[in-house]
Amino acid sequence: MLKKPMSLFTALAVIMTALASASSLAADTMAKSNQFWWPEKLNLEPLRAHDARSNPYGESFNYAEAFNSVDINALKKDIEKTLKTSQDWWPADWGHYGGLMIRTAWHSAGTYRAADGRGGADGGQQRFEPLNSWPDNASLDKARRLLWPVKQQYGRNVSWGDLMILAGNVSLESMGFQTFGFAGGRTDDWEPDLVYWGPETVMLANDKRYSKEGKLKNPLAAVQMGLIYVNPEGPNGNHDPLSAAADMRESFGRMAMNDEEIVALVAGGHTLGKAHGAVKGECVGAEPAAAGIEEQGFGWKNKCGSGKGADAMTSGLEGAWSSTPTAWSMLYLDNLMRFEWTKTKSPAGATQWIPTDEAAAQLVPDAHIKGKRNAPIMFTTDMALKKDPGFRKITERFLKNPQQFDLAFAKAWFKLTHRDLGPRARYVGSEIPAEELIWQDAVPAVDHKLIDTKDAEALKTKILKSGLSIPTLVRTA
Amino acid sequence: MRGGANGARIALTPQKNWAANNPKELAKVLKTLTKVQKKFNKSLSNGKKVSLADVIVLGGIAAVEKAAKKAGHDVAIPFAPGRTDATQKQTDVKSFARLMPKADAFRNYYSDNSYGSPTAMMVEKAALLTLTVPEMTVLVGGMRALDANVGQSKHGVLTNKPGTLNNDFFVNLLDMSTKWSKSSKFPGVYEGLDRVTGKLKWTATPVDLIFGSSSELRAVAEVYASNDGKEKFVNDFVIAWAKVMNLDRFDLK
Repeated sequence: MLKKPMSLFTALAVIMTALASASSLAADTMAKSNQFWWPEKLNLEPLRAHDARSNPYGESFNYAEAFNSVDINALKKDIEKTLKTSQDWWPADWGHYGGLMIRTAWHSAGTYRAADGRGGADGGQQRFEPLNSWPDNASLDKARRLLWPVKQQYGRNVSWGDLMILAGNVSLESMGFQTFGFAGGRTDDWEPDLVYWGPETVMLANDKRYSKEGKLKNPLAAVQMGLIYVNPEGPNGNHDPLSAAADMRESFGRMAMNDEEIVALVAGGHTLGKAHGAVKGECVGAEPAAAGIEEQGFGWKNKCGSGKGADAMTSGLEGAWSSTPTAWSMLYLDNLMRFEWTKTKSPAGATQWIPTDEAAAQLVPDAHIKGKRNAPIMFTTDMALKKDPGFRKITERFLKNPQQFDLAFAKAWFKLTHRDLGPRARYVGSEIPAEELIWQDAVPAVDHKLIDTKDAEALKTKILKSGLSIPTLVRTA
Repeated sequence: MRGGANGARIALTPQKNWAANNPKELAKVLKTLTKVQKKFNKSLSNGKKVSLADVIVLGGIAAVEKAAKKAGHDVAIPFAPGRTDATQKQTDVKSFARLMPKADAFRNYYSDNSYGSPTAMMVEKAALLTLTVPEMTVLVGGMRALDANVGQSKHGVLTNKPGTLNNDFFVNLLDMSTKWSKSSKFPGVYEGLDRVTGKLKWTATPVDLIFGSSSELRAVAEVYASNDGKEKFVNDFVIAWAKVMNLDRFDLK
């Protein structure tokens, strides 16, 4: 009985040794692309990306039809149940995954930039490198795994792109917020998008994306490699709310968001959930793309304490903004304007802000430890909403007019999560808002009969006789 | 996923003022096309109408068909009416301004605001238009034959019959009797000289010459430059043209 497992173990060890030496050789024995030898040569790979043969559902699969067959109310109920069922392997803050899912949806859509339309939630690109391993997307690997049972249940009828955004909407609704609506229709990709995210070759670097005059180069929108928007601690961690405001304007602006939308999104997003920085950065291991095969797609393994829940580490900032982080409220805006704030350090060592008023230190219930209470926090980018005169005007107006704040956040959230989907003709499902919005680049509906082939032929002759040359007509078309 | 012919926003701010759209010429053309459209709509009955956006696309189709005919090929490009004209009020000027082309190889246009080289930006643009390598190749060659460069520049118009949809671009690019060198006067421009006489035959930019220098693009250019490639060139161009014209027609899909 003893001998058999022994020999099996020996055999395995032999295989493992062979594998180990093979993997160290891998870099040398791998076929090298021509781009490796001649990096300046024109690379045509972008034109061969997203080959239909990579799509396991085949070319004839019509996702819009598939999504239309889904009972969206049942789907939303399944999502909400997931949100409220805490898993031991990644316990939910206050027993509700809403905050995490709002961030998932936001970061899925937030990569969009207006200049070339790259990025965005369509395609479900957050599943793939580099986005799945961007420092700004830490712990979202857990969010997608929490959603997996829902994805598994609905299969091809609900894409990851749609599921991540819808989970954000359901989170908001589950915590008492009335959303503006939801449109499905995001068709999943099966390979990473090849996108120019900036000239730097190191994550979080930003030494090459600014001109000498300090202008962010086109078509980029984020201020550092691997971030969705800006550094929450201010430009290069300078902790200055005013220069953080300038960065926010530039970054959000390049995603077609104006001041009112910026304030609404930041305030609305931070009304719910918390930030995670309970332990030092050294506790955290490699991102998913660099993690061991046994991690099965997870990254950022945290070896300190329980490594999760009360010891979770994501951005390095720690705490909640509101004292009711799982219920929609005015408390973010109220706290921001009510208290004077002073700089402090999170357990991870990041600079954040807490009220100077010591009575506030007991305002927020801890997300995991019963009976423990904490002070509310603000990021330097939150302080920007108070310190920047332009932002402050809007912040004060929102605080006085909760309905205006609600509507502004609802609309800005809908824009954030839907603008990369394109024209309304691509929207699918039963929760599409009727109101037409200017950023949808709407065209009027056809309110007349269309010309037929004979008419078109006659019109062609007339155009050609109008004196316009072939090159002119071609150029205009 | 923005832009496209539907909406005829080329007639609105900011698009009508973009350098890549030849604002002066564009204004004249749109005036003429609007006149044709109005007159034609008056002649229609039964509540039928045609939009300016459809007239612009149909004008392009008519021009390409005529140019193909001049080359001896009868082609019929499919046309799907149903585009409508957006109003200025429906147009987010600030947000559209961000779409301003920094480079457009199909019309031999390049500006310093581009983040990559002319050839890399050509591939990027083609990728955004979901074009394949052959589609990108045939479109560039065809657009040069049709003399459709921004500002009527002659770079890459490697033909003695501009405005005729033939494969001259590829034939002349691969012609060994031409020797190419960098222009000493104009940065970013290349000169094609007769190898024997030294006479200047053509001028071109990197997005023209890349179809001779990149081994993969040259392989496709050879297909269109071959004696049996003339008809294939016209047919492939027409299919790619129709694809681009209908890229934004989600209402048809």
